Amino acid sequence: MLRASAAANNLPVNLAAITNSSLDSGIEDGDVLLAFADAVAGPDHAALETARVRLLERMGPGALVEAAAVASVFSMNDRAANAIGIPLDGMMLTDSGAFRKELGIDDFPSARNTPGR
Amino acid sequence: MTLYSDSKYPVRNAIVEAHQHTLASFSVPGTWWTGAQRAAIVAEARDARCEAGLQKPAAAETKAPTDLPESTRRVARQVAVSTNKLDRGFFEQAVSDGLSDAEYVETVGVAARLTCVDVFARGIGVPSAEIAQPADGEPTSQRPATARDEGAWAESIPGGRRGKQEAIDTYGTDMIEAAPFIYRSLSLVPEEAKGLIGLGSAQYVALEEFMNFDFRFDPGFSRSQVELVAGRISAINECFY
Repeated sequence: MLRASAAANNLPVNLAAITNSSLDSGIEDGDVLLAFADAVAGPDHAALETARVRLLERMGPGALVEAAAVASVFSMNDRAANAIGIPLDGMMLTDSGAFRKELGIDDFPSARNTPGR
Repeated sequence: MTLYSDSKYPVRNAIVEAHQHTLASFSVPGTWWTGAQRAAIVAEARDARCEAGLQKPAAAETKAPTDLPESTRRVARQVAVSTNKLDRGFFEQAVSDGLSDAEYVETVGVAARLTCVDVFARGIGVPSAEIAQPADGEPTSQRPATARDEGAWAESIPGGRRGKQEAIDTYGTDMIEAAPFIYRSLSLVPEEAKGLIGLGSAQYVALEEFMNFDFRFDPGFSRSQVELVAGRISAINECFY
């Protein structure tokens, strides 16, 4: 959906930043958003505090709340998907084939839950 | 004091309400677990996340003794910390140890939804919210009649007409495209599926706005920025879906 949303708004996007957050995503304020995502999913509380301050300074409190909302809801969705072993929906499977292999997504253990990928 | 009134940053009412509903659901009887057992699943999940350094303990948190099976504790703790390396053997081991498939799904649902609420709190810098004392009562023990093998480890209610009234009750409609697999993932326990869908609608995007790339909950946060965070979190969690 990152690729589709960027294309809909004629924005360039570097999908490799999803699996390597040190890369430039091409998305405005992507650096602080990726740092926040990494920190909120990890155990380093000081890193999270730093990432939160940087996000606030750059984007403001509304964006902080939205970033936390998205990070947390995908923390839930990913756990449900991986722990129930759901396969990818057919349409998404077709559309994502070109970049999944390149980004290493096909190597995730949960990829085994989608036959014919 | 209302939920998130201790936050320095205003939280949208839709998120507050979804989280209040979620937290309340943890201490009332579910479909296969009692209120005390669901509260114990929450306590196990939080304990595991604290041990892994993923959050700090809530102030007054205590683990009350319950009759929660060891296999349920193991599932709750694993799901709350990481599901990256799980394979079908994890599910089969839980069932082999005595959990029913529906008990497994309810446990996953509680642990996953708890993770959502607690990661959000940590993200905005407030302590995890306490849950209420467990309510008395028995689980409903109602297994959906339309649930079937759709390719996941556990059965699910199909979207569209094959799911009959249960699809409408769970997904809000009988339109097949309104039930992507992530919505169906927990549907062997429909209340857990509805909880997941409710959180998704409040925090990510409602399904009716899914292809509207101009939709924003906050004017300063674009859909591309939403998807960048979503994609990065899913990569960290090694989620192919």
